[in-house]
Amino acid sequence: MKQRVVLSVWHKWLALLVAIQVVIWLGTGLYFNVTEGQGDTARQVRQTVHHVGDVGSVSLLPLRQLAAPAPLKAELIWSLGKPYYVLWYNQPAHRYFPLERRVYDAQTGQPWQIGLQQVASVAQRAYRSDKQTASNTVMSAPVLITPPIDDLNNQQNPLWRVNVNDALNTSIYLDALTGHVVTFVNDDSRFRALMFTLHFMDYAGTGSFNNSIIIVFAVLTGMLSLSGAYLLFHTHAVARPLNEFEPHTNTQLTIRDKHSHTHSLCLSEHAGDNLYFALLANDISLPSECQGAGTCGKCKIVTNASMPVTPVETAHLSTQAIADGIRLACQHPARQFSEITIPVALPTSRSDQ
Amino acid sequence: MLSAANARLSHKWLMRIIGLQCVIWALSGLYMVSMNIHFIHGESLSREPVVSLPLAEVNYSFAGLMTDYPDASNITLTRVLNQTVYRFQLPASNGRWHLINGATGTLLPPISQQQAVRIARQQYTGTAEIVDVQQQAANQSTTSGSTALWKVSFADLARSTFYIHPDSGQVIRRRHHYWYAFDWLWRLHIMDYDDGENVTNLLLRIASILGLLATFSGLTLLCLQLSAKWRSNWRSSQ
Repeated sequence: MKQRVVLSVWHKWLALLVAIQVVIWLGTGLYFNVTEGQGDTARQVRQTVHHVGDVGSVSLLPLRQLAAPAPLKAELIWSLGKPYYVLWYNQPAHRYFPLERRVYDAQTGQPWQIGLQQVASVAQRAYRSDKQTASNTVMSAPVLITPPIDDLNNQQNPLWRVNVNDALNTSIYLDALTGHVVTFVNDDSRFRALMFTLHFMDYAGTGSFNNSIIIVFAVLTGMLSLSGAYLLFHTHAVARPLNEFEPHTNTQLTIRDKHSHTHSLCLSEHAGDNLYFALLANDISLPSECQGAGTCGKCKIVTNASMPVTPVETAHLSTQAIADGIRLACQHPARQFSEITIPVALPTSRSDQ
Repeated sequence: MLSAANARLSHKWLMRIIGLQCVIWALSGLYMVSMNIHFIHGESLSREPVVSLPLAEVNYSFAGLMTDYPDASNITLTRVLNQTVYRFQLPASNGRWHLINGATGTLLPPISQQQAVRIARQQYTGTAEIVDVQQQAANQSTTSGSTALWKVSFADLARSTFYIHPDSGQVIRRRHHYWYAFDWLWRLHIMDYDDGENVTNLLLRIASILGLLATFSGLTLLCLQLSAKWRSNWRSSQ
């Protein structure tokens, strides 16, 4: 039983620590549940750019004639109709990990990196605008930005960014070397990313849910839910109401208050409730933090009546206090008492009611 | 009426309905955030290639390939086992992958069982022996179309398994017990128990709403209890 008292205190303090985040988890979870799969507006304005040129008319320089260190892998790619070799010097598991590449013009063998004008051209081709808005659509000049990138937390490579002045503030991100489109971001996807940040507690902006803040909160929430499950399924600690057919033994209660004034109380139909609730029903509020839940140990009264000591009382009261007649009001049916002393003052008008 | 007793009663009854799922959310979430996602994906099971391509031995050029296969796309010169090969897709065969010997230009047959074993062994970062090699039945494969992948399993504690594409020679997925645990906990987390792909299911929606109500009732109870405590502390200090 002591375990139950300890766990209920833990449950309360754990709740104080994590309750707001639990609401955020459930709220953002519900958001994903409702919105997942609904039209991706950033994808709706994106279209495929056909980079491949006239294969028959180009003459490709043999790879071995390149003045380049031997790579792990070589790719033939096209950008705006021209062929290029991309030589890879690492092969990370994800494209957002740092990439070690060199790009060469596949016809001349010269090192190559896409230029500002070409990036702007790719961005124009990748953006789908309807006929009405096409003339009003303005794109910013491409800017080469280095990580960290606000819109793309996990991206570890530099990217070109082109901003579009559409209603959703679309940003087009393109590969720094090849100019191929990496992704489209707009206000809708930014809001969704914010929801993920909240759900994953990624406040440090790592782009990952494997962060120490969420691990700490997940441990605390695990303890909160397990302690809650224990409290829910474990035997109830407070005295249960009596069977309604059982005759009430005491319906009259004499109360001595803080100032030693004596009051008489008729318990009537509340005689079967525990003393804490029976007094509360008569507007007498004993000190309590748990409001009769049998966990705080504050609703102390003094009585001469001899009654069994409950495990909750053993957990909260010293042996001496129990010997002095101190008991917890939430632990015993009101009918068992005929006279009690309480640590609160009652209005004198109640005297000899 | 907003009272601690009512808040407690609501909290208890709502948690009797949704409490078990709250425990599942908390514990499955804890597993998923504390296990590194790259480890779960088996990225630590494979080593990165270190041997550079001997470009001087590449007699068959990109130009030759473009002449022989003008529709080829996603062309990469890479290594499969100890051979330099071109890997590319052809639209004529529904985007199927093909391998060509970089030295001779001959089209290579699909990866054999022995080659699949060697590829897995070459990439595997552990020391355990191979315990099982089989070719998946084509209709069981979901993400690789109709292709029957080679499945090579190692005798380590987590039963690490490599799935190798017979056409491209690439390891296209890695699985171990931690991945399967993650997959099942994900299904329990989003309450989609068949394939774990439907985040928008009605059960999750109802459970989330009940969970929110249960949390709000608990939060109300907490606020009422704390305000009672602070009031009593304030009174006793007067």
